[in-house]
Amino acid sequence: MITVFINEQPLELEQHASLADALTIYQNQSGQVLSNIAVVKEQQIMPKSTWHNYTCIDHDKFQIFSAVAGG
Amino acid sequence: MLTIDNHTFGSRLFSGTGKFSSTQTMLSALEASQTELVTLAIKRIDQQQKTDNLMAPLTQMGVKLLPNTSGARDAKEAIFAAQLAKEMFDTNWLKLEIHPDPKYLMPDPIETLLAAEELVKQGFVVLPYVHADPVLCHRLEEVGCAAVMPLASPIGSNQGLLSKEFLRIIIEQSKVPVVIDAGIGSPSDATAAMELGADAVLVNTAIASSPQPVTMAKCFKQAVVTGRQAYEAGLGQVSQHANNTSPLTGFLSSSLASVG
Repeated sequence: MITVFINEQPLELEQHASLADALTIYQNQSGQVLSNIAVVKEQQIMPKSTWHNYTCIDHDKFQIFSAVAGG
Repeated sequence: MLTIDNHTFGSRLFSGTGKFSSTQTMLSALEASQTELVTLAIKRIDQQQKTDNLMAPLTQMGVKLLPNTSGARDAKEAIFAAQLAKEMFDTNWLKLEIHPDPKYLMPDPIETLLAAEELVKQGFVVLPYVHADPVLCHRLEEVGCAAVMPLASPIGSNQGLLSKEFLRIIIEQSKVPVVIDAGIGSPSDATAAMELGADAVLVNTAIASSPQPVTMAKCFKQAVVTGRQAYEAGLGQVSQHANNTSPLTGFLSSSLASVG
């Protein structure tokens, strides 16, 4: 097992889990709807097209952003 | 019809989505306003606080989304926020706003110009929120902004067109659409903005903070249409002196003289 952090919250994953896997597990555990989001790792935006191919590494830190109401 | 960067809008009322008491109220108000462009903000997901999924109902309504960079304090942060927005919303349209001062939320003109120049180079359709500064608006137009969004008064203040005389100059000089944003507090403010010749207005707080947001949204819709029609019809000249609207022929004095 490895541990990654999504918005500072630890998330346990199987070895070789992809970022897409991590997001699915995070969504199931948090109840947050993860549609129309952006994912950032080390100040770099990770395009949606890379989520399935990126293999998470122990202690990876991700930030997730989403839309909120605003003027 | 209003065109910004080859996109045509039937409504000249743009709306924000913030401050509504509920998502349903916001959606009902947007529908009543018949707006075709709505703003959204970006936030880091908070695991402790579940947020409504705004995108699905807005997409269903068919409105165009205009993500903003609210929260950015300088050009670097705004550019990063723009790239986040592009990834999230799959749009290159952007309301560029940089306000480092949390008290008055005054836009930073220098950082805004720097960010706008870079974002235009990156292919964004940039609508910058700025002071009612004619020189700055001209510079933003020169670097390729698709429209300018000068403020009427501070964000969310409902103070109306405090910057009216400067807005007049911006409208006169601008070759890109002028969208008056921030501080429009009443439908009559929106009408006045449109009578000045603004291409559109962006309203949020005045609708969201009304006790009856849906009714207020309808009022703004009508106000914008009325203001635009008045502008197109052409307002009469303003004069320092009275000008009679009825004949002043002195007929009473001559009649009275004949009686005497």
